[in-house]
Amino acid sequence: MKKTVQVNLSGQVFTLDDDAYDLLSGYLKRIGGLYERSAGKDEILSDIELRIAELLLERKGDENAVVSIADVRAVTEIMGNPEDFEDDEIGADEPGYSSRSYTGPKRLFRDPDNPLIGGVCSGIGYYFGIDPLWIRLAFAIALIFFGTGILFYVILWIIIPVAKTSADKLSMRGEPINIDSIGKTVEEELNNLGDRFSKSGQRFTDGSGRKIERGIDRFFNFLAEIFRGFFTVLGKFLGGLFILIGVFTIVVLLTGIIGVADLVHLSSHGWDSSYSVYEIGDLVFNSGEWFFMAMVGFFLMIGIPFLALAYGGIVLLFPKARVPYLGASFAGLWFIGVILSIITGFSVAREFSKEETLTEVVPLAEFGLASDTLLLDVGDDPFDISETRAYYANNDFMMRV
Amino acid sequence: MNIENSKAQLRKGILEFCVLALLQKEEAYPSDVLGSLKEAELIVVEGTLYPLLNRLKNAGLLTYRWEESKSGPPRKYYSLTEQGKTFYKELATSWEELRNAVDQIILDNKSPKEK
Repeated sequence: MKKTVQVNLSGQVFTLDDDAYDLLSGYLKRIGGLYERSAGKDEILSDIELRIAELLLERKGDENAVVSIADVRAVTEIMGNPEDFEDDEIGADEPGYSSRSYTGPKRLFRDPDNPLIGGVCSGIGYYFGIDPLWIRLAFAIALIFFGTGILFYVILWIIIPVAKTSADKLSMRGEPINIDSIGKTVEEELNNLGDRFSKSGQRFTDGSGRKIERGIDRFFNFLAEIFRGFFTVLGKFLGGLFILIGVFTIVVLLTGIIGVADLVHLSSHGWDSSYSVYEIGDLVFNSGEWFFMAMVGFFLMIGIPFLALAYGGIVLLFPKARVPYLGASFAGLWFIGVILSIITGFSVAREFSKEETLTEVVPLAEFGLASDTLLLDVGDDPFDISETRAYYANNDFMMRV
Repeated sequence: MNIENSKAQLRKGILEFCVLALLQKEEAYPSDVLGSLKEAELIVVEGTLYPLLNRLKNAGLLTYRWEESKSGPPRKYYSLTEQGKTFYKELATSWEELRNAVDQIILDNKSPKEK
């Protein structure tokens, strides 16, 4: 299975395999780098793109066919090595070209060739023209203070792009971009990336001391792997935790609603009683429909975030379990839950306020009270009323059960 | 001494002239030009042509127009400008002289057997 990328070459849309895309964009960038200084850079590039589009069409016969790395290799072989395009006359009549060097705009990249962890410090070092050791030291100090260094580092690792092509590496280092330096970097890249370009007719130099370099590279890669592994494990751990919390909460919510267990405890004055949610629902809601709506709303509003949490955990554990649009569906359901809760909330509030207004006012004098003491008998109530309070205020009294 | 390298040097010198020669009669787009050049083994990799065309165009010797193509991206048809035609004629004259001179040298120095 391969990821594909859609590209537009001179108005013609092609679907390329991911690796084919990397090869082609690297190739075009190399040409771009070579003619950086030439007035006709854009035109040369667009002409070459046009020809590549033609060759790809010829090769595939159909613009809908997916272009593989073999196709790109064949086409770049026909087009040739950018370094071989150069004829001596090129740019000869362009003033200032004779020096063949200029300092391109410096850009911040992660350095893939000299990383301790992710190449962030090395890249920053290049950017400010200082030894990466100082940057690393700064991060280490930041690590001692509140451990912020690690967070900062991870953020930088994510947002700073890695220097992939020779042109990237040159603008990272701020070296003058000219044909020689590009060639040098391309060679380094070849050494580093092994046979990535070797089949497209590239020179492959076998420098001395490469074995040692390889060994050091491998060591750094190992460190990077360990670091990456640590975050992967952390991710899995968090994923498991999320699933546990999410599932547990949802089970609690569901059992509460179904009333399997007396999970809701009301207590007062040291006397405990358990109620299922249904019983409480009967107290609060006048009709089953409202109760049902309130329950659905409540479950959606409280349960969906936990369901989403559990789902997030599953995705962390098994990235392939990601379901498209599920996150949006969760958000939608949660919104519905909030709306239902608001509606039922208002309706309950209104019903309670109705009861209040129905309260009859009975003058105390009608009972012919002789004393200040009033005995209230609430009769055979379906609930245990643990607390009954009566208030006197002037000639009125208010009773709360 | 690398024979391929020497051959390449020979071709390189006349490539510019050949491109102008191919375009002087009628306009053509790069694929046509490439076809002729490859047939004559004057060019090995296609990429070489594009910087060359660009340079000739920027020097005012060539001009181009776009034409839509039924089977692919639009094509750039190149042709010689007036300046380009004059330039080509001068080069053609000097090529004639050069060719005759070179032929003469080769002929004069052939071993008696070959004569």
